[in-house]
Amino acid sequence: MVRRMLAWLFVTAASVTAVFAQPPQEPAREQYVPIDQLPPSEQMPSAPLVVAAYSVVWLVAMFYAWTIWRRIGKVEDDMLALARKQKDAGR
Amino acid sequence: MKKAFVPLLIVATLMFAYAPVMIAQAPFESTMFLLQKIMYFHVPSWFAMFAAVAISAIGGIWYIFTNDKRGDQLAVAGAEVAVMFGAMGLTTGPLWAYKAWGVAWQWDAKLTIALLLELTFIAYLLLRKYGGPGSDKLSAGVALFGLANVPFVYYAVQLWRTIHPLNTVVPSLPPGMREPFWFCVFGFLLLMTLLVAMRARLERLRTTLDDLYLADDES
Repeated sequence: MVRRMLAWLFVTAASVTAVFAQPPQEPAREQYVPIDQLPPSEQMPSAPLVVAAYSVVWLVAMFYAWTIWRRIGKVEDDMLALARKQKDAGR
Repeated sequence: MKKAFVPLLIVATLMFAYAPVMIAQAPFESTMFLLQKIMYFHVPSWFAMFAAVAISAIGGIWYIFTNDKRGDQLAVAGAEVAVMFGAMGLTTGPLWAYKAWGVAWQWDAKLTIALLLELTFIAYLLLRKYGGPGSDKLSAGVALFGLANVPFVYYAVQLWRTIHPLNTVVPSLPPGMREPFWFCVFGFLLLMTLLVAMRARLERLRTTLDDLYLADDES
């Protein structure tokens, strides 16, 4: 008897939990909404994303080329400094 | 390469300046409209990364088997350029996905393996910087692992169930979309070649400087 009661309680509790765990149902649509009438939070223009993508590519490529240029310049300066040091030392 | 560098740099710059014009004239895709135009820079950046990875691995093999410093210089150059193009691909992709999928990132097989490839080459560069003596040959091995990863990145959409667009998109591009796409691919590969050449020159100069310092210390 106690076992049956416990099983009944468990099934009821599980069912109630399952019912309340369901996501709230969206009300049925009564009409279509044109895209330009959507709230701003649901609109996502593509143009800024496209512009951002192209800008990233340009900026990353230019920045990287500049870093190589700068590093080459630094190494060349070090080579010149070494050559000058050797010349001053009379070697 | 020395003589051809400046003319090729001019060609690459002109190509990158003209690419947006070609892309703007290309027809809109029927479901993504303007957003699809990110593909013209996103896919070529991955092609350039794969090519740079191949250069790094070939340089690594060359260095492992011959001990020729030129192989190592090429491997380092390829690895660094690969990281740069990978960063481009990993930035432009999420910008597209943010609208197309509603989320910038998904732990999808293709994306995850692509991220692993990028991390492999970041590990390569860290190993070179902080690995100490012997790290040159170890990193050559890392580059080979990276190259082995490339087919998995490319064929991930066929091997696993992913939400990334299929590889068949590229060969089936209709006229009007095909020309700007291959124009961009060529432009990216040219840029990659020039950057690898520049970076390899830097490595060559560093080797020369190290040799000069050694000779100076000995004398």
